[in-house]
Amino acid sequence: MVHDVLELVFALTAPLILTYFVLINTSYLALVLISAVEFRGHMDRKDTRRDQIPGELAPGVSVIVPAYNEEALIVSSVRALLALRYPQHEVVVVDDGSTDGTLATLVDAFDLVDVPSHHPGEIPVRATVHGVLVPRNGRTRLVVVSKDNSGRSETINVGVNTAREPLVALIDADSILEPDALVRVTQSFIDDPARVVAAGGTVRAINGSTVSNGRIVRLQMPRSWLARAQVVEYLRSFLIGRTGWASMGTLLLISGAFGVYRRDVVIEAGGLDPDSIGEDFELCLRVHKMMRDRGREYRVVFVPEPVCWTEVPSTRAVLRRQRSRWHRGLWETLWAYRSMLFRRRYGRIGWVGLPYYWLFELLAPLIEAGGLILVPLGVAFGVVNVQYAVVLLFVSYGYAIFVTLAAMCAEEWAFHRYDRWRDLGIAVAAAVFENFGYRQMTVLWRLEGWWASLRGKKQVWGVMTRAGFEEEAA
Amino acid sequence: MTLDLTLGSLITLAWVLTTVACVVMGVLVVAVKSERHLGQLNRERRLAPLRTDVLLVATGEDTEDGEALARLTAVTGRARRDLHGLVVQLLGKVRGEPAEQLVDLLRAHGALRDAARRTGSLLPSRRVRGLHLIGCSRDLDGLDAAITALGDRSRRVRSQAVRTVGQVGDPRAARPLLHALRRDGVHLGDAAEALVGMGYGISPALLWALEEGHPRACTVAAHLCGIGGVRAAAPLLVTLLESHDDPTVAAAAATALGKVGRPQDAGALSAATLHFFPFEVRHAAIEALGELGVEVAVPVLTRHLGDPSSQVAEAAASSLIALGPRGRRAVVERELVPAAGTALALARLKGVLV
Repeated sequence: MVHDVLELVFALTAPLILTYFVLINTSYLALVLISAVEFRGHMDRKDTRRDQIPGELAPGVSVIVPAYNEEALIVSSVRALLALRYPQHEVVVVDDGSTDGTLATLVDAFDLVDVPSHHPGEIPVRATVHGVLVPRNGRTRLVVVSKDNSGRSETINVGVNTAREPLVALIDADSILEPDALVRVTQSFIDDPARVVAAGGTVRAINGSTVSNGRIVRLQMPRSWLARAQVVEYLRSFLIGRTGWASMGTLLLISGAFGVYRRDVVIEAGGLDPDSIGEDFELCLRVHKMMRDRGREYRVVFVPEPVCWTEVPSTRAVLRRQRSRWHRGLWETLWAYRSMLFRRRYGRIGWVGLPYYWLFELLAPLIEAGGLILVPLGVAFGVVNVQYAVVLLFVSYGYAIFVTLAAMCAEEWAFHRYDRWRDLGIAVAAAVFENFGYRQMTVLWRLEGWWASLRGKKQVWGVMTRAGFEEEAA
Repeated sequence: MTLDLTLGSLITLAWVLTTVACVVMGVLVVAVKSERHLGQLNRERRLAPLRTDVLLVATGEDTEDGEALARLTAVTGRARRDLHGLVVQLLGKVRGEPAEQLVDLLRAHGALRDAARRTGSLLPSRRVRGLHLIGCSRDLDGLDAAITALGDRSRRVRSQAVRTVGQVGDPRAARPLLHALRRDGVHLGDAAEALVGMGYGISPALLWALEEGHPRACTVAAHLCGIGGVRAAAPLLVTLLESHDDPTVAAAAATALGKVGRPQDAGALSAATLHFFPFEVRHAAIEALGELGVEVAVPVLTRHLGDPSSQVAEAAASSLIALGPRGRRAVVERELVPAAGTALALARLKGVLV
């Protein structure tokens, strides 16, 4: 009986699973090739273009830093942000009701004084804003806002309300921006100020590197295999995936770790949704929807060069929470915007981008888990030919390793951020390692997040325990 | 039996294909890194004996007879190509006679002649490199080739041509450059930088662009008229502010009017603060009224202290403070309005007010 049922299930699903793996890896490979073409432009410029300068037309940027219990890092982060190479930028730190000494540390370090009154701003927020503080010298372009704890989205909305420049850069408090990141990411806004509404930059993992005063001084691969797997994963999905999507005009996600938006567009869209768990994805989709509903010409771009470095989870518990939350956010946002699917008004977003996300991002863990359960069961009950299982293994994981190596090749050709041979060797090993153990764990965690959402379980952000990066000795 | 054989072959094929593809890709990654690494080492090795002479020339420390320059002129083979790369890097950092000597070195090697020839190459990458060398060496003889390249069919070439004409710095290229902004691939920021590099002789071209009305050219021209103090542009800027469809152009015109406008232009700026204008235009007009410095703007700006947009309200308060005693009095009288209170607090911290 079990044998018959399994035989039927397998007869129905086996070709689908195989086809699915071929398609998903082929789509990644296509993105690698598209990105390589984009990177070629970068290669041309590298030899011939002088260092990019902010230029006469550079628009002002407000860098918005939501901070919750960031006492240890906040001062060096803010100093590094204030020192970014850009002619007109301010740093807006919004303290989200920290229970540690985040606010007091900032007040001490920058000699902050209270501004007696402040404009409530255009985006409605539920939390109470306690005060707005600025440095006593009146020159340092720093604004610190203190408010009740109400989550990251509201914190950023308060920052957008406080911002005084036409562009807002949304980053995490522990993100480290390269000194010329703003210069590079604003180039698209300078060139096409009317149409470019948002720009994303590459996010890379900083674990294992040495940092001094908020700047990376030695870049190395992380020590743990968990973080190493994430390095190659970020490379594939952030650098290669998003470059490819952006070049097709279908970039649906700008990472919350580093994204730049036109402030007026964020306000018009109503700011970040405080009830969404995938707030960065949700905002980007809402901007797409709003612009297309109103029939306005616009562009969402991705710039592979401005790099934001961020610490990735180095323990399984934290990674589990992160992946669960990401997948939950993905599901909830895709479901909320299902009306955009296959509608002519939404163009490539509705016909290519969103269907891809449904099929290859949302359903991927479900189908992979199906394969992981069914194939061993089938082999055990003698329903599945062992040879078929081996073919499936090669097609799914071998092809995935090939795609990751291709992405690494494109990165090495165009950017080659990791200088040491040892790091290259580790990255190649991580490209293999991530397929055996790591990938299966993330499949499980992503399904957990999805299931929790379907059951209506309340989402909590949890605490991102940071191992911290090595600070160079003074 | 046949099925088994087919499956067996399929497995072997999948195994072989996957393994070979992964190994090839792995080798490719290593090869890319090796090529760059070894290329760099070889370049360093070839340049090592020349570095002292290059530095002597670049710092103006060469002997009166020009011995170091003569030794560099005699360099041949691959080292010569590497030397050109090093010289090009230094040209961005040195000025005056040493720069001229380095350019003479390139000229003596025929590199500038080759660069001009390369601008006619079929390959865009060669044309880009040719233009880059012309720009770095500020070679006036290559200007015509660079101006022609502003209309090149390749985006990358047009983009490089803009930077080249800016580096050469001859105002003759200003009008073709503004005209080239009609096509994609010419970055507005690069165009503005290039025009700034050409100096004051570009004013007629800027006025032509303002009259001509193309949005991209107008944006750049309006901006440069403002920072360059081209007062003759004021009437054209008013026209753009009042009638151009593109809010980017109208905002650029308003900003420029703040810098080069006449007292009578305050009327056009005040009108542009009305609510039916796009946000960026209103904001720019309010800032411009403060910069223009005419007290007649005080009532208009005072009305905007309670604007629903925080940026507009704060800009109005800052502009009032910049307008002098009457404007400051208006802000102090409305200190309880959030935007006024913030602006006053910031002005006191900066020492503008006590």
